[in-house]
Amino acid sequence: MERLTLPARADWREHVEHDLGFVFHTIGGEPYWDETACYRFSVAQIDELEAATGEIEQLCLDLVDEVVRKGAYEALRIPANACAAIERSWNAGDKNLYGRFDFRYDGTSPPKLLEYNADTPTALFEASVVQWDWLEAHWPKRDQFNSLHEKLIEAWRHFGLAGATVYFAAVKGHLEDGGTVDYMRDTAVQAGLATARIDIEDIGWNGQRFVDLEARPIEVLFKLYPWEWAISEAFGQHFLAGTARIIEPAWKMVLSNKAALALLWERAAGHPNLLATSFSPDSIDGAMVRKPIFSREGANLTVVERGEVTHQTDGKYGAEGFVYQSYVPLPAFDGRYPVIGSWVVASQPAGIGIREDATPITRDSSRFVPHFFE
Amino acid sequence: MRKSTAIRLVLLGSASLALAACDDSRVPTDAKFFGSLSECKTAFDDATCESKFKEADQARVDQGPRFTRKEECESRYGAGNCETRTDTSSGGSFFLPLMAGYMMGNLLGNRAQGYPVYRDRDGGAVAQTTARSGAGSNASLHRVGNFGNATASAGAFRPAPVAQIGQVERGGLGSSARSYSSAGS
Repeated sequence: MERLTLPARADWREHVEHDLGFVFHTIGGEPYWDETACYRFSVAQIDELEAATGEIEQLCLDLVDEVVRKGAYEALRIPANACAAIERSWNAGDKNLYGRFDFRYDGTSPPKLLEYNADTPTALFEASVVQWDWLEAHWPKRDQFNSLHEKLIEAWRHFGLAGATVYFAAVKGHLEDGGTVDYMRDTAVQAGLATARIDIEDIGWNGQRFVDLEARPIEVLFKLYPWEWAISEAFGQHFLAGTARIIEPAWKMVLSNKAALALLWERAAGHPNLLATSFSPDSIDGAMVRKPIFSREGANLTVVERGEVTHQTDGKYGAEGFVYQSYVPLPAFDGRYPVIGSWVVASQPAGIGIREDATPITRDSSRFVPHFFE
Repeated sequence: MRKSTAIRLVLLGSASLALAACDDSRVPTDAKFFGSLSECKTAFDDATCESKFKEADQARVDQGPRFTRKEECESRYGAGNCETRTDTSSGGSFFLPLMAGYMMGNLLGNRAQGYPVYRDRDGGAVAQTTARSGAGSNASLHRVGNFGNATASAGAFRPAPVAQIGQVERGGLGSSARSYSSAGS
């Protein structure tokens, strides 16, 4: 696994904006998409990442099944009012579309699961389209672990949604979230589905079902909006009642929080792709990181090494409690610390995207960097 | 190979509706397409979206394509994409295509206009503009792009349901987003 540097394509900004519709390559004036560097993997390394992703996804699905069968929602800090919806959606076989595992990987030791973004993963468009387009421009004959686009279209075809209009919703005015959802919609259109676009805040309730701004019913909703936020808000009960089909489905709530990492460790302690994780710091030997059960983008993390806090990030999360995970520092490549975002589409490994930061903790200021393998 | 063989985008980037200028009543080069009012409101203010939507719909009813028989309309615009109306002056009924969306053009300044867009039977996007001439105004249709592989009814504007159950509540989602930077991770 190597990090290489190379010049960015001339006029790359105009190209990605105009030809791909990728408008959030720069965020708050700082580079986000960075094509002055890329990672090179070997076939064996990609095989290893792919195998680890497939195995962990299966462990996760087994975990959901066990949690639902036993009704063991409390350990996951899932509010009591959500349990019936989770059970119903799992037993009905409500399909999941996608998710992104974050792995620590250095090319030599086995990939280690840091966390699973099971409900609202982003960096999708970058991984699926932008890095693919970059490779086509430089080395069309080289390979990349990325068949996201084709797998997404294929997955939509098997969702059993023909005849319904799928609404795509993101938070108003958010360029990256909006762009991600616009891309998701593109793949659904290509699968032959009827689609529409609406801001989360504009979703209405007419007493019987969700409706759009023209009072038309919303029967299927793809939301880039966390379940745990939705169910804490005024329309939360309607989300849970199942009047609309929601993607990702309710049962994803079992996996979309870090308590699930502790449960995975309980079920499969010692698995080569898992890091020891527990609800108690006393169960973790050596350096550990404390993570809020609900948090995003590296917020509210505390790293403790040899009894001292060595890294800390701030944020607003932590009200629901924490898990403690073995801390293995991210590997450094030219002073950058990469995290491998490994995607599943319809529970199958679909490709990877890499985000790297100038510090060992990945934040929302990380840069997305392309890759290839040979 | 473990990468996608080919990638095509139908809504994003330059793959989205390309504009073709063909005559005086051409679609303005700055025209943007919206598949619905909701979609327009993700990009522009509510008042502009609503008034241009109304303008587009009015142009559709007053000056758009009319057919005596449903089959004629559907043979052009696809099954399920036509509705019937009554002509206010003659009292006769006719068939016309539903809007698959609308375009707003001349966005700078106060001359913004709304144009209805239809989806034809082959998935083509057809915009209707109005040319003003000495004799009055004439509507003309311009093929401006493709809706891609979506099914025949994808994107067709359906009139709001006649029976509504009570009032529509809004504002029941989104408050958490104000406290955090992103809904995704």
